[in-house]
Formats: sequence, C-alpha cells, structure tokens
Amino acid sequence: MIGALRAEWIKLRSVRANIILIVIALAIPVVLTFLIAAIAPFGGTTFDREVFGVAIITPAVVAAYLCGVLGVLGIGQEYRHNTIRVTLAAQPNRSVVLAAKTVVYGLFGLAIGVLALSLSFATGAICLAARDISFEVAIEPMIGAVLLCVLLTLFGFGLGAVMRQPAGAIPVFLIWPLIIEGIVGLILQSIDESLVRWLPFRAGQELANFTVAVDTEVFSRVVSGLYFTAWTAAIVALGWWLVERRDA
Amino acid sequence: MVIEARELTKRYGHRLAVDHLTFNVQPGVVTGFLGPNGSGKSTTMRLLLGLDRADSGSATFDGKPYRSYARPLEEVGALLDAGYVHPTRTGFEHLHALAASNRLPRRRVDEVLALVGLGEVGKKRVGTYSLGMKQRLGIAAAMLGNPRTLLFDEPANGLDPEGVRWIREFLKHLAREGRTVLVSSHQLAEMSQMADSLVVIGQGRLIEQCSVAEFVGRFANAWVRVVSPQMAVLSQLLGARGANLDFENPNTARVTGMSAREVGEIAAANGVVLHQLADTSGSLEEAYLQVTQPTVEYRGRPQ
Repeated sequence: MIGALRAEWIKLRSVRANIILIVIALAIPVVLTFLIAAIAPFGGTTFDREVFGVAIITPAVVAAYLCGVLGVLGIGQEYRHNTIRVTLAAQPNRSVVLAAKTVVYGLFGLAIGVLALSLSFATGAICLAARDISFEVAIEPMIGAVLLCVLLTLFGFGLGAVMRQPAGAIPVFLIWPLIIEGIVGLILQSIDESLVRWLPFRAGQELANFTVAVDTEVFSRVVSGLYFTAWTAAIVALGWWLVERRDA
Repeated sequence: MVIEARELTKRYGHRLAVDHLTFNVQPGVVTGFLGPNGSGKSTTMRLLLGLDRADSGSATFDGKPYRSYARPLEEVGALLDAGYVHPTRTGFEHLHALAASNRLPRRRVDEVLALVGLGEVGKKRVGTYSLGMKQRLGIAAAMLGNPRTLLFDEPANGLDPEGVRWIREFLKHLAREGRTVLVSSHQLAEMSQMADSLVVIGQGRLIEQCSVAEFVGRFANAWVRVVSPQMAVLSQLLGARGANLDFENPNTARVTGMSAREVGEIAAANGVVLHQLADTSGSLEEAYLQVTQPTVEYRGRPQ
C-alpha cells in the first residue's frame, strides 16, 4: 500500500496540467481576495461576518472547485492516455490502486484547502485592515470550506472513475453545480421551497455558509455536510465498483 | 517461469476476439506470437495480465494467475504499447512511479534507462520522444523489476534498423539467460532470426504452436537449387527418380521432392558437371502466409 501511495503521489506531481491547476488554485485566493477586499464597496450595513465571508471564504470555495477538476484528472488522465493499463499491470489488485488514489487525492484536497484558505485569509486581512474595514473571523465556515475542498476533490475523483474521459467528466463536474442545480432549484422552489435542501452541491456549499440570516429551507451546516459526504461516498463507491469490473 | 493459457475466450459485444485459445510459453527460448491484424494478439496479452477479464478459460504464470502477484514487476515485465505514457511526464518520472508502486529502488530507474540507451533523455518529457524512444522507454519499464518473464507486443515498431537489431539481440540474450520471452511482431524476417518457438493465431483461435523450424518445414516449400551446363541430361536423370523441376533458365532449376545430397550423388554417378547445388529452405514469411491466408480479417484488394 505504501508503494501504491508513493506511486500515486509521484504521478500527481509529475503531470504539467496538474501543476498548472495547483498554481491557479493557489493564485485564486490571493488575486480574487485581493480584488474583493481592496475594491468591493462594503457599506455600513454589511455585517462584519459577511465581509469576512465574501472576501475570504468565497475565493477559497472557488479554489475547492478547481481541486475537484484535479480529482477528475487523477483517474481520467489514466484512461485518456491508457496509462491505467500500465498502472494495473504493475499493481493488479485494483482495490489497492483505488485506495491509494482516494487517500492521496483526499489528503491533497485537504492540503490545498488549508493552503488556499490561509492565503485568502492573509491577503484579505491585510487589505481589509488597510481600508479600515472591520470583519469578524468565523471559524465554522472556515472549517467547512476546507472540508468542502476535500469532498469536492474526492467527488471529482469518483466522477472521473465513473466516466473515465476527462473531456466528459470535467464539464459534468462544473455544469452540475453551476447550471443544472440552478435550473432544477428554481423548478423545485416553485413546488416546495424546502426541496432545494436535497440538491447535493447546494448542500455541500452550506458547509462554507457565512450568512448571518438563517435559511430554514435548507439543512443545518452539519446535516448538509453529512448529506454531501454521503453523495461523495456514493459516487466514489460507484467509481470503484466500475473500475473493478470493467476491462482496463 | 511457464506461461499457460487454457481455453481463453473473450467476447466484445458480438465479436469473438479470442476463441478457446490454449498455448504455453516455455523459458529459455524466444517465443514468437504471430497472427494477422485483429487476430487477437493484443487482446490475449491483456487477458494474460488480467487487464481485460476473460469470459472463460484461464491464464497463469507458473500456475498462478497474474492477479495473485502483489509485486508483479519482479516476476513479469510487459510492453503492451509504447503509447501508454502521459506526454507531459518525463521518462524518468514515468518509470519512477512504476518502480515506487512495486517498492523497487530508485536507482533501478537510472539503470534501466541506461540499459535501453535513454540515459541522456530521461529528464525530457515523453511527448518530445520519437516512437522509437517510446518503445525503448516501454522496454525499460518492462525491465524495471528484472523479471523472469517478459511480454512484448510489437517491440520493434518504430525502431530504426540499428534499434531493430538491438532489440533482436537483447531478446535473444534474455532468453539465453533462462527467461521466458513472448514477443509479437509483424516483421517476419526479424522473427525468423530471433524466435525459436512460435504461437500462431488467426481470428482468435490457435493455428499452430511449434518450433520455427518445424513450422517452416511443414508449411513452406523447400527446394534444391541446381546449376549445371548439362541440364538436359540431369533433368532426365532426376525426373526418372521422381523429382520435379522448375527452370529459372536453361542451366538453372529448382528441384523439389529430392534432397541436395541425392541430387549431388546422382550427378556424380552419371558424370554430370554441377556449378551450384544448394538446399533452399522456405521462409517463415512463406509459411506464415500459407497458414494465415484463410483467417486474414482485413485484406486489401488488388486494383
């Protein structure tokens, strides 16, 4: 297992597309936070907690979605370039390969999540302080944003394992939360306001929610987080099952 | 290590790619794996390695399925396709990840890169490699664990003449060391210089498994080439003893149905002068085409 973990880590850091995505994922919390914190007109009516959320949490969540794309590539690239055959010829026990990828990408999501949030925190705190704008540090959405980064990375990995080709899986991974859940959410709202709580990415984002007003139509932060975790576990499990039984 | 395929069968949709295929590969010799395009050679290789699941039948290495080896690179090395690499990884990184997965020391990566002559370009991205360099990288990957058994699918593909000669000598050397070597190739002239034993398939079925000499002897015509200034006399003498003669020119004949030795003795006994007398064995190509003709799946039509 240790060999498989090392192999996956070497593979993760030796592909140029991955390095570019990591650089972008870490640049976003600096650049986006800087733009928001330095320019956004936070009026006197904005809560301190929401200033913190908009300037510091939101950019970290954007970085988390990029980690999800990296998760897709983690297995999709292997199928795209047929290196999965080389990988599985070297380690014919597919569970070992899949377990190693899950661990490596999960830890990678955690590391990027912590780094991204630290960068946006440092950038945001400096810029906001320079403008004399007060903000309130909220711990719960910070922890939630890091967890969301881990879950999105693993969700991407699971989706990549299910769909195999990144050219298909990456658009699905981005269109699902950004467009499909938006449209389905509108339809659901017209039927019953509380149905939106069942949309997986909507629930996942609740992890990093920083608004002051409490939305009673969605689950609490913890329940939403568990609900999205269940979705992530299900898609990873489906991916494992398919990789185990399909021809490589 | 003995490779054994027993009644291997694989279907893709309605197409039967491998059909109750049974053969074995012994150590100490190079075994050539021959068959027309689409005959199931690559599929068979994937079935041996458990990459594709056989619908029925079994494939074993020393009696154990490939999947039961926890660190298989030390037992079996395979080159399936030189293109199975990520173009933005370096050759070194590609091998390093493989070595790590089997707990092989990092220095093996440098060793096998040097072994295949890629020592200089190991730190370059694979996307910049020529096909021949990718082949060498694939061979390096197969050699990482210094395995007792090697599977090579078209290893000479894309290599220049010097590279082709190198791979031929390399594979023969590996077999002489007592390893098991299974190699598929379309270059029949190469194969005849390198393989001792053959597994020939067509449309997923076994056509022949035997030694190269036996295969050529059985399926290619052998003849004796005779050059004599007294051909008229000689042809009557030989014809009377049951030989068949085809004339290339008035002084030169291809004799079938009689050995060179017999032709020489008859000529001497009758005082016929010979300028040339040679056994000409048929070629592997001739035997191969003879055997696989009915099974060829993709055939060009003469215009």
